[in-house]
Amino acid sequence: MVFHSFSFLVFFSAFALVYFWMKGKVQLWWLLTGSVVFCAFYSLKGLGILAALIIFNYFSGILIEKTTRKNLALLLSCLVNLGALFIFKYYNFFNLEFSALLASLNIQNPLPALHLLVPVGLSYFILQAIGYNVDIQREMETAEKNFVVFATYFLYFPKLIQGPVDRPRNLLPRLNENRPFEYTRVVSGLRLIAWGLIKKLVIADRLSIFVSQVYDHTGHYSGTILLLAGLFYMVQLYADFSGYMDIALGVSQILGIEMMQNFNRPFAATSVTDFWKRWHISLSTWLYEYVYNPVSLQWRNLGNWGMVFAIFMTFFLSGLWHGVGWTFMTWGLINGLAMGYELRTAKWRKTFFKKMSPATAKYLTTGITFIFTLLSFTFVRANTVREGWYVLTHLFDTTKSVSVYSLGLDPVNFLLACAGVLLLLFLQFYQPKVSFNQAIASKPALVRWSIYGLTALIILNLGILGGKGFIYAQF
Amino acid sequence: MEKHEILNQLTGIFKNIFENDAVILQMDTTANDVDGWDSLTHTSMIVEVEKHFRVKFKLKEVLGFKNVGDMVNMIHSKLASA
Repeated sequence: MVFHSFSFLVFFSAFALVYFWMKGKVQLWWLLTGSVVFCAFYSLKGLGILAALIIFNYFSGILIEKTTRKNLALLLSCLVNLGALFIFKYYNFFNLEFSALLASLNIQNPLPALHLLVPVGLSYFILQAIGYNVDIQREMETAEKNFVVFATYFLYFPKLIQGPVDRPRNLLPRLNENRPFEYTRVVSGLRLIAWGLIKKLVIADRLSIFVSQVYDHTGHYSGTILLLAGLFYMVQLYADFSGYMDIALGVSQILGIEMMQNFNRPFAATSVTDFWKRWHISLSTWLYEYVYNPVSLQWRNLGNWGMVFAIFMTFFLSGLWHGVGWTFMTWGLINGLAMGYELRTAKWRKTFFKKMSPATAKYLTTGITFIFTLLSFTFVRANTVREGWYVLTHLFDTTKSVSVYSLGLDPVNFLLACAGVLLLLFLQFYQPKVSFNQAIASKPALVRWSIYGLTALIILNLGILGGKGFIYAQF
Repeated sequence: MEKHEILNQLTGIFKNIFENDAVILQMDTTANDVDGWDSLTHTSMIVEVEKHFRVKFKLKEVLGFKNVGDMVNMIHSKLASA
């Protein structure tokens, strides 16, 4: 049940009507019930596995808090959580690679393939569970004793599938508050949902038609088309994920629970390090808090090399978390290398760019980062590392000639796709003093409702409707 | 060493690490208040602080620092017990 489907509209409308009629603990129970139903829509088995993990983490948190052997309790808890993630998400991939390795030695792999359904949102769930247990071990947080609050935090349906990876310390206190109906908050949430729908249905899903056509037959196209598909994919990924995230934040805002922002104009970044402070912020900050920071501090005696090692490890894990396959690991390693380079050359680069005017330095660094991001995302979209490499090495290939209008988008739709790309790129660099949401709220009723009407028309007429999933769900 | 003296010496280290002479540290200063104090420079700063005061922080102690005051208090207690 994706957010941009009719079934979710029916589910959420019915859910919200009852939700605002309830108060206090009953409202919290209703929130948990709604989240259980939402999860059950995907798979009852998946819900059962998540429920087992919730019960396990509920008791492991209390155990870590009470025991004197906190490190051991944390280790066991991490082993169970990571073990579950490995079995459901990674086992078959590594088993296949292992089989191939053994086959080259004429040995049969004794390990069976597992046919398991990955519970919905498992990757996000495990990150939050580990963060929760680590915070208790570090004595930064106390274990949540109220099981209903605890279970709701993990199953909360607006963030279940795609995050944000909101920390328990941010979200748990909000679940305990009373959340009455507030007209301005609900309308603001609806505006956010509408903007998310435009990004997802009108821009991302339109771009995906062109991108899929090119990436399914990379060998057929010239460098210009490959480069255009790369640009389209970069914007598609952003529009898809940030659009879906806007819908999630809007839904949560309607319910009176503010979740953390996950994007902050990532394509305006002036370095790869800066990019990762702006893209999927909840994941980046999680990786910083629970991987990079402890590892770099543990290895701090090695100086910069200790930090380079920590960066490398962080991005390798980030790549692995994003997807099962060598393409994601390659993408993670490339980013790790780039950040390691930036760390090692920080002083030199600062001196170099100081010789230019601030504006020139900003344009140059933003341009370099933009091109790097575009090229590195090739490995996220490519079906294999070899295919990604093929794309990168054929960007200047002029031997093939194919019309851009023959790649799934007719001239009108191609122009609409280009307009969407330009709009989103423009919004990366244009910083209004007040957000669009606030700006619309301050307009007279006639203007506001005209904008709402136009938005609905755009979504219904120009959106690629059909309940297509979204990219980050696979992670 | 008194806490205000530790804070003064920390200010010098911060100015040097973050290449910013305008840094003014208070006990409640956090990473958000100092330009350039980010995930990457944090570790370098800890290394310099340890070298300067000849102390060694445990990983758990560093991860528990919520502001400059926490660091000052930790250095103070380590120097007092040395």
